[in-house]
Amino acid sequence: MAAEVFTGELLEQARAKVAEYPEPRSALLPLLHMLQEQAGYVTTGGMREVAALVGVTPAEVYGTATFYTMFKLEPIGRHLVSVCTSLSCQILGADELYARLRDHYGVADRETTADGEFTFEEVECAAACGGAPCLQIDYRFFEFVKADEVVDLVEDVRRRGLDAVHAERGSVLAPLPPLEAAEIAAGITPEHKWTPPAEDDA
Amino acid sequence: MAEQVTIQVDGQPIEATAGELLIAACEKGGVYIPRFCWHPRLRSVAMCRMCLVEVEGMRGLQPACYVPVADGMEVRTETAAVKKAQEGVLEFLLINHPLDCPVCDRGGECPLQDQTLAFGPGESRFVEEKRHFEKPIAISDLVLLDRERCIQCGRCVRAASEVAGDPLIDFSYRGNDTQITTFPDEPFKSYFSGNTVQVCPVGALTAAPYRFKARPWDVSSVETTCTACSVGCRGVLQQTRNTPVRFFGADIEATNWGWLCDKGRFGYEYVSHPDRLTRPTKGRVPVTWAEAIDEVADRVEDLRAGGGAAAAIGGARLTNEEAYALSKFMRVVCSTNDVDCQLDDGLPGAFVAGTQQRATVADLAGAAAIVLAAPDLKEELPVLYLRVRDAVVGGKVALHVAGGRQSGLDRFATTRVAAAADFDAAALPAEGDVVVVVGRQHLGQDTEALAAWAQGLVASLGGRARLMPVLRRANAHGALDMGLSPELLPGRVAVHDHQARERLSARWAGSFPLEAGRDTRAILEAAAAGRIDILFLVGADPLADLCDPDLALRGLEGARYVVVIDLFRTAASAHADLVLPAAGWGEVDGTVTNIEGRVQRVAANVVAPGQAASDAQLFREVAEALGIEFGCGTPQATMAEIAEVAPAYAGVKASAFRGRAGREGVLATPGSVTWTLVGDAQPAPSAAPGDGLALRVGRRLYDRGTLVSHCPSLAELGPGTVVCLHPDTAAARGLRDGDKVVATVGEATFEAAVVVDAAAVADVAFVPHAQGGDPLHLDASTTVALTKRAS
Ligand code: SF4
Ligand code: SF4
Ligand code: FES
Repeated sequence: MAAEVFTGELLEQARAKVAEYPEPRSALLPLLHMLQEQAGYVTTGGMREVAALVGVTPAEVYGTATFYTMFKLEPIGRHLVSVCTSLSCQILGADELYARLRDHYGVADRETTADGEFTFEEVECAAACGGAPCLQIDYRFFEFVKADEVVDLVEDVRRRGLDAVHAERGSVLAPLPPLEAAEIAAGITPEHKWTPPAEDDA
Repeated sequence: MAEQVTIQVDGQPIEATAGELLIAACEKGGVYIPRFCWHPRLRSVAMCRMCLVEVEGMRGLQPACYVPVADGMEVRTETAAVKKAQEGVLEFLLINHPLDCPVCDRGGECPLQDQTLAFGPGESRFVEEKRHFEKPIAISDLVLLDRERCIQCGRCVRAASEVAGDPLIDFSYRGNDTQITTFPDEPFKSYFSGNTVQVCPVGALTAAPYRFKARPWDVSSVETTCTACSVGCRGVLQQTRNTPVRFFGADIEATNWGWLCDKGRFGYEYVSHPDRLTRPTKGRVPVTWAEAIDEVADRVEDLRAGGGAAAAIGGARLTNEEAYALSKFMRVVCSTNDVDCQLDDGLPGAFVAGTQQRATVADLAGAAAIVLAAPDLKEELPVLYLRVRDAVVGGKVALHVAGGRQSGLDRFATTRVAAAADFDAAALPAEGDVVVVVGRQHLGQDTEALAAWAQGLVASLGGRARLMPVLRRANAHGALDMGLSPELLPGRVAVHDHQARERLSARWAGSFPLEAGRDTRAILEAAAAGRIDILFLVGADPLADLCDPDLALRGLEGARYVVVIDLFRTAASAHADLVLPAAGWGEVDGTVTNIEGRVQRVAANVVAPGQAASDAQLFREVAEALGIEFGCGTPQATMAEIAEVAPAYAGVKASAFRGRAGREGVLATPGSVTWTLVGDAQPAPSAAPGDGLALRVGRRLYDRGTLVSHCPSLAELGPGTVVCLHPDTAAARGLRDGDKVVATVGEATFEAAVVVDAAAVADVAFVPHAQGGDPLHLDASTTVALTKRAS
């Protein structure tokens, strides 16, 4: 079957990524991120191509993609709104926050609005407990969100675009140097790139 | 020989082999350690933690399925800490387990039930809602999955990937949602899917044909041998109310290691099919058994008085004892050697029966190299495929593929050539045993040339070569050994062998020619010429199986009197003067002989329908009606007679099948017949002329043969009438996958769908045999022209 997703430049990038690891299969997650960036979700055909690129079975790629909830197996809206409902956020009203959104848009968990604009999901700890309750829109943080303002926040994104809204109302946890989006999504930042301690440190 | 060590288990010494897994060593020593994920035939993964034990000097509890034994190791399996761990694991596994045992197929034979009872806490602290799934989902045509019962042991995943080489199922999702799935648009299409049901330690995977059919305590079981092909897998056949409901693999070291293919596993369905023949018929008119015997006896008597000719085609379905009775009947009562259990689709009989350095299945793993000049083993001899795969995976044994279709084994091959004749023996390792597996690679192949080639290769390798000639049909090897071949007598000896004839004369009161008789084609030619007075078709239908349908038809029409003895009506029975219902697998006791020459028992577990009877009984009754003392009254008596007259079977006695060792059967010893190529081998076919493509017709596991088409679960699984083409070959003709074409082969035409298959051979059209269409007239140089049909 001819490749349809990983062609041209993307194929080059994917091959380069595979070459970074001693074991090709280690590139499975980065490649799934690359794939997700293309259409917003991991497509069946794309997963098959990833399997061939990293040398594992399609069933294993699927197993991995379904294991991680940040991989979407179905198309999602233009924006993904992820509401944290783990302990800290829950204590500070995340359930109410999320209920307001679902009621307003008339959707259930992991559903997309009829106009295809927003998909809403409940997520496990987003690691911003200090700013609870928090939510992410396309993985960009908004903290101390109030139930009364949450619909307005989302509508603001529709009106003015995420960049503008995030600049005003969102939070930047740390200045991020430009990185490949896949790496941001994978949580790999330069600070997190681990360097082995020097011998004598042990 | 691996080093023997002694370990202490709960204070008792146990002998073990160094490096053996603790769980296996303990079990052999009589100490059962509970387990879920570990299976003796699968890789250890230590995932379930059910087998935790204390090992002196090791910190924490150790999984017995992962720790190899070492001399002096002290192990405790019953301490408070072990007990606590076992209870903890079971309580944890049961958190989400539905405990719907009363409606679960596994209930009553379930490792989870049993081990909960033996090692579990008895109570759960979990009071919350359990998980729910839609149930069941079909993960293959034959296997259903109830996800909420799954305990995530991974046995099915490993059985599919490691053993079958079909890594189509895996774990998906996580936590509570963890489940076995296939890739979204890739069903679990595997010839070995049923094995996952067998290894699943709970009722998560169930077999569609067995689901809700019986409870394990309501069935009666016998261990028997599968005869859906000639590998000789052992298994347990279970029936309830005289209906077979399940067949599962028995772990026999020599052959199948507990595995079965799905055709073998589910192929019992035809046994209880309502279309089974239940009484003799003349034309369409039922007659009594006694009338039928009288009629055959009258005909045979005329023939004996007037010097007429009888012939028999078939017999590969029979047990050795039945085949022997047929062989004896034709020789002693009908004075002829015109018998053939092959339909011009196997190997030269004397070549097979005369094999001297014959390989066993176990030899495969110990060899330095395997040369495969055989059909696609996965399609024709599936569990042999598993054993070859096991030997060559990871490069343990070098594999050389000499001709034939491309198969799943090709990627393990060191060398591959398009035709056996092109194989260069210099590619073989300089030392170590070489197993040469040889079988007809496609119908119409010149197997004389193939046999001569194999013989030459084996001779050139001297003592280090072992030959495994493979025939496909059920008991074809046993039938040859019993003399169902124009040139063989029982015991792998030539028809003209004086010693053998002398030995037989003590038991066989009658004379038969010194010269070889006619083979199937010659029998049909003679019949067409009006020279056959009685033609017995014993579980054989030349109209469906012979690659020369005209000849088959002319033969059946020309024969004066045709007796069909079979389980079902066949195309041939329309031409029969008399049709007799036969008892088959699961209904008769006896022995069968596999590809290795291993003689194994088959056991009856149900009563044949109506008046259907063992073929041996029929021939005995006819002989006795003629006043001929025939013997062969019971399978046991026949077995004893065979041991007496057939030197190769001297060791095949009832006592040899008793006990544990007897489950492995007995290897027949080499015979004395020799085979040499007469004349020249046909030259290999030249390139296809003009527009035509070389045509190759071969078997697929599932076809529309008599037995498969009477197994409802399997009948629809065949590919249908298709033409498989290499992508380049298809492209060159402007054909795409799924296109409808009209194929012209000589005078015959048929409609087929194109399957574009990267594994196909370029410039060859592969057509699977017996998929519902008429058989084709084939020889090695047959070509096919394809015309695309407007859709
Ligand atoms: S389906 Fe059965 S064999 Fe497969 S993981 Fe679940 S419990 Fe184990
Ligand atoms: S490989 Fe042959 S003998 Fe074994 S289960 Fe399959 S059909 Fe039966
Ligand atoms: S049997 Fe040992 S961990 Fe599962």
